[in-house]
Amino acid sequence: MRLGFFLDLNRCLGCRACEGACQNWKGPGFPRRLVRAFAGQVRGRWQEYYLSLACNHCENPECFRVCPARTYNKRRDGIVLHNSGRCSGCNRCVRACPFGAPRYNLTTGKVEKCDLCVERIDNGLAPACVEACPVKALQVLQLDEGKELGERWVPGLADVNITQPTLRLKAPEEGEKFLLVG
Amino acid sequence: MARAGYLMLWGANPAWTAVHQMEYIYQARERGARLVVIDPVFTATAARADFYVQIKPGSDGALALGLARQLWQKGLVDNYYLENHVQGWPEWREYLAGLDPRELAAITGVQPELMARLAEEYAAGNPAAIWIGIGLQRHINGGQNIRAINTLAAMTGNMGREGGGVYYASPVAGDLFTTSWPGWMRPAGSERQIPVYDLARGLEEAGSPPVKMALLANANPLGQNATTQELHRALANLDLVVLSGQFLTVTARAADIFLPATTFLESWDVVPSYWHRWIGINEPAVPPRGECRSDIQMVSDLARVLNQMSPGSCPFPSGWTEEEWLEQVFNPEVYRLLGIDHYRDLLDGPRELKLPANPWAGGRFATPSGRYEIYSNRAAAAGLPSLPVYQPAAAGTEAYPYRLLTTHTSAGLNSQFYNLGYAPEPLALVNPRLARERGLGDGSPARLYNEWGEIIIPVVISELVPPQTILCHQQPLPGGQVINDLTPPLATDMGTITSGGPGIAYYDTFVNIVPV
Repeated sequence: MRLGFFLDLNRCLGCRACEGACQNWKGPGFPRRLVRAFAGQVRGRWQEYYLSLACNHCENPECFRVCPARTYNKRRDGIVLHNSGRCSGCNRCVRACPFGAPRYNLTTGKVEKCDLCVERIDNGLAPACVEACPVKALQVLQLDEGKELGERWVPGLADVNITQPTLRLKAPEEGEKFLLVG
Repeated sequence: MARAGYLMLWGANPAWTAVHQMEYIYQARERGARLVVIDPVFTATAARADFYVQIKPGSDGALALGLARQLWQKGLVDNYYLENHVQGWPEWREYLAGLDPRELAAITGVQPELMARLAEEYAAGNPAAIWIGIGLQRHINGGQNIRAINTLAAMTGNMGREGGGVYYASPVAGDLFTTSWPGWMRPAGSERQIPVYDLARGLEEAGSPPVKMALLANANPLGQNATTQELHRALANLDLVVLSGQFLTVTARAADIFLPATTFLESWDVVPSYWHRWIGINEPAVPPRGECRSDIQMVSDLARVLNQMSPGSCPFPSGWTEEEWLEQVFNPEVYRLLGIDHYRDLLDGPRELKLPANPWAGGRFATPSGRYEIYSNRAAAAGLPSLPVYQPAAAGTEAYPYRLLTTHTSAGLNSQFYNLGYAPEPLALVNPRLARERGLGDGSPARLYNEWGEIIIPVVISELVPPQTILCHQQPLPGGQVINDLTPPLATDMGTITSGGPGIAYYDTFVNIVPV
């Protein structure tokens, strides 16, 4: 069993409740999840949506590979954990992660990142961000072999080919649009 | 709303301004409902719709008439409902028959074929719901426009259907608390009203006696009223301006005395809503900080001092604590509808008023005839047309040809939360044609001006804004500029009937724009 975040880009409103909930649950510092707006041409059409991103708990976590202090480990359920006791604050993971998930905390001198609220998961609860989402755009899914739960990449997301995130996305769908002629 | 089979959002942008409601819209969609958005601006909600129709601002009534005409012509009306629950169908039918679809298309910018499609879809929706956004009322013809949209629900029988009907702000929950107030809350004959839409001139022209002092609370008129520069002068001419508030707003800075008011963290309060039927209680988390006091304490103490100076001059009670006030406003009817004996029961969590989800489900309306009144004698008595006939919105002039819309962002509510600095960079969004006409460059600053004031703001060219329209979201402007400097003193048409006085027709503001 592997766990991964699922984000429905049709549902997400960019309200940032997930960011706030993350910060409330994890305490002072910065939220381990950030909502970014994407706007641009996608296959010849203008698209706008929000990407609410935390750690993508990759299959091949680059943070894990580059850390000289062996600060990272990956659990059997796929959650990538950062052990702050071992972290020397060298920032190699910060530079290596394509998604900007690990961030350096100036006040502690160490790196912090999303742990999928592992203490909540282990108690059968959803992560704080998922629980806070007012429109159920953000969820945690179990990724089973051979079952595709959504897109692995959408425009606005960094390259997924190297680290293979467990993040899955539902791409935005477009309705009919009648604009005034002027 | 989750039970709607067809959902028409007319001028509402819940993806930004009512995030909590989006979940119910998504639930309706997952059950197969079609989501249609009608709006002058392609909003974040429109981006999530199955079908978006752009409309010229202020022409909503004309589009509703176009749809109503189609419903009648194609026999898509509910004859049983019209015969038994509606007043004025023959007169309305006659009026619709005389309308020219091409004329309606010219007013709205929506072609007759598209109107026909919308009408057919709406009539087929079972049940079909319409959510009318608050922005619609911000025109001199806003009330008439909303009446015209309402007729669609009456004509199809959707008005009384569970999951159907028309959604709009409802005063019911708040009124439950105020209808039982004793007479001293509304002393007879001692009240003088100055219309909010023209407060500056009202203050200046008030005679016998003239206005010498203003006590402002829960308001930021120098940011949010019309003709704010004139209002600035009018307030400066008063002997004394006192403002109670929580933040140093533009009005607080202009006041002679600023009284710090408590926040919801420091005082008791009741929390009703104009959107849902739940009632909550707010318990203070901390004692008032510093010299902060709640508005009710300030007024109570003022009443006490007035009565010391001139005994009996002020009937307002002066000795009650906040909790004693709660005892007073929670009346037996509220307790019955909530199913509790004491307001402190709400400390366990908010409760829902036992009121029907659709108040008109029984087919009886709160009108003199007990029917839905398309033809309304009350409207006629109030100086409005008896039927919701089309009344044009204000139009631009040669000097000021472009309409200015000032809608909410997702980061604020009018000027609330300006202090948080969450709002994105303020921008004026203009249609490409307007940008060409006026030589405006994408990202470069422009001057917006009319006879009331001017502001300087960067321009963004966007096809999502209708032609001849400028969109400035309500957010703090650089250098302390105020967008409502540009807002003229125009009254809405039905505010007197619905909320005791005409509102401000913000969206009938016209400006010109030049590159800086």
